[in-house]
Amino acid sequence: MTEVPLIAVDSLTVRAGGRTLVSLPTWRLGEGEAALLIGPSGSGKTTLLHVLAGLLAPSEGQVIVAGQVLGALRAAQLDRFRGAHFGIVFQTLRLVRALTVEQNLALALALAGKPKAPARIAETLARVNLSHLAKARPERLSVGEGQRAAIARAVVTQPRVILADEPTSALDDANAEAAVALLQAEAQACGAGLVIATHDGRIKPRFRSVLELRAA
Amino acid sequence: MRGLGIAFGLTLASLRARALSTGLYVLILALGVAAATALLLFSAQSERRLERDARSIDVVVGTKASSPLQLVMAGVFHVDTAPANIPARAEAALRADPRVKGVVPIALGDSVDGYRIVGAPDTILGLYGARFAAGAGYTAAFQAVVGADAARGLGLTVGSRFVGAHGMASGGHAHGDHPYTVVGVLAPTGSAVDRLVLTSLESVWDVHGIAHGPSPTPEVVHDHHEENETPSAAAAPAQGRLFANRGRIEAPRADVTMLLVTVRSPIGAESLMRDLNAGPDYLAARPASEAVRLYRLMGLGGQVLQVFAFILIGAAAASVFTTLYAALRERRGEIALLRAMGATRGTVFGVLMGQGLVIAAAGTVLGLLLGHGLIEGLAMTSAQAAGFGLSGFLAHPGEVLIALGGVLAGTLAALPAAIGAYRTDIARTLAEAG
Repeated sequence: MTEVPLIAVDSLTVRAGGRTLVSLPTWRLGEGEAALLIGPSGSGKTTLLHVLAGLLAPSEGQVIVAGQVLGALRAAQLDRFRGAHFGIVFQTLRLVRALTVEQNLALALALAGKPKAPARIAETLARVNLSHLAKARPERLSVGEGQRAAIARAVVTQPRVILADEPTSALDDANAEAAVALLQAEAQACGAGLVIATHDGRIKPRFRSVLELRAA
Repeated sequence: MRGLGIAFGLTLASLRARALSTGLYVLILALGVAAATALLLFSAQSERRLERDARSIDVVVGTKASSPLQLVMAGVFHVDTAPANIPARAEAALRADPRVKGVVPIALGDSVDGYRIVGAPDTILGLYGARFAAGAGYTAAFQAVVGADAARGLGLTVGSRFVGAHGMASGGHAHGDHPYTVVGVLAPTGSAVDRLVLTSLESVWDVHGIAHGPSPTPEVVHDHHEENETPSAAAAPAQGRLFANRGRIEAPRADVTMLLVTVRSPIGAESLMRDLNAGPDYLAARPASEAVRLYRLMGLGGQVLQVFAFILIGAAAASVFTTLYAALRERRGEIALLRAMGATRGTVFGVLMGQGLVIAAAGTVLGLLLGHGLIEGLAMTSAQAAGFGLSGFLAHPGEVLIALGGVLAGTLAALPAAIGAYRTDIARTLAEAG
């Protein structure tokens, strides 16, 4: 396999307050691949996701995403790079409360530097089965609807990489199953790589590529 | 530019989402700005009115029983109660003085629904530069000329009849047996005369049953008014110029309230005042210096109120500051979400600053409008305020400073929260909030 990987991590170390949070000698994610990041609480899953997204600078080592060395970008450039290349789903932080579901998707497009695309927004909401709540404010959504809206918000920009941090922890079995299936389907639909950090054993069987972190 | 547009859209959305508190901050700030604006307008407009009224009369002469301020307030600004009368011989004595250019005797004491009736020869119109909008000057007893505001307030036109009442308060003893007929209405002048009802001295004397026959003072030629139905003073047509008929010596016939004197030179005014005040009988006051003194007193009160206005603006800014800053804690998650979605530090800084700016701008604009409304409301409902020539439709250059101050205060109030948003540690916030 000679093609350039979507994500390349080399000799990565993240330290904080004299403690090593994450240590990862080397890791690759190919284009369109899906990987599960597992490990107990405190094993650095979230920290690693933040480093991959350029939200946190590593103490040592480097991260290359789609051929771009993240550490080489200035702060504002890195923010724009993140907006354009990543779709990130969090456990509870889903949408901007002041905006409707539809407006949240439009905001994601704007922050990614992509043109306004009402058709793309409508189509994305239809795929996550939220068309009827397009004009609703986030507080009106149920937990499951909220997570579907967050996934829609993350994929509407057609990112290269979708990162999800404990996307199922707050969900019941049925919703967890649906959310993971949706993430996988959406990643496939836009050809994006997918990394899910979780300690949720329920979803492990769905992934072939698993990176296990040990408690530091 | 992209970040700016997004920040602005988010700013408006967040303000809309918290419409109630946004409205409250706008209102608090508006109240401070309104107070400052109203004070500025009031002091500037009343000062201008005082200056204009004081300009054309050099010296006011009354009796020692009064005070300089009362003389000027009653005789020039027409806002104080009438002081004690001055003997008739004073007028002739002043006319004989070479320093004096003209003398207008006035008799006060009556009013119509709060508008003062001033008995005076119609040379008083020249003092205020008044012109007729309709009709002409009085030529007989119980004819009246009304100022523009008085005509509007009393609903009087040429030919209307009205009855004066004793004193200044409405409800005083009505002089029902002596109705006046309006023969002229004045055009607005922006001075005290707008709110006056003018009539001849003789009419005022007759109303009060004061004999005004031969002068008691031997040194003046008297003018026997009883037989002469057109007293010479009243017969002189309004010239719009000062003392056009000053070649004619006016003979006083009864006591008047005070004398409005114009002089030939400023030095003459000073020495005339010294001489009069040194004597045992008369008190002389300069409207210009009394106006300055009055203004200084009012200015002091104005300064106190101004401090209050700025405290109000400061309090508004402080409440915007506290709430935006307190909201920052609960909004950190959202700020982190925005950053994760690709917003730069500059954009989230802009969103927070934008909220302060929009509140400040809206509060300032609303405050300026309220301030003008307040002054206009005051002018419409209070005769005293109207006496100061207030209008809500006049702007003042100082309002630019108030506007800048309001916007600056509101914007600075948002700064700490915006800096907090700028500095938010995204990774840590996300790790905590999930």
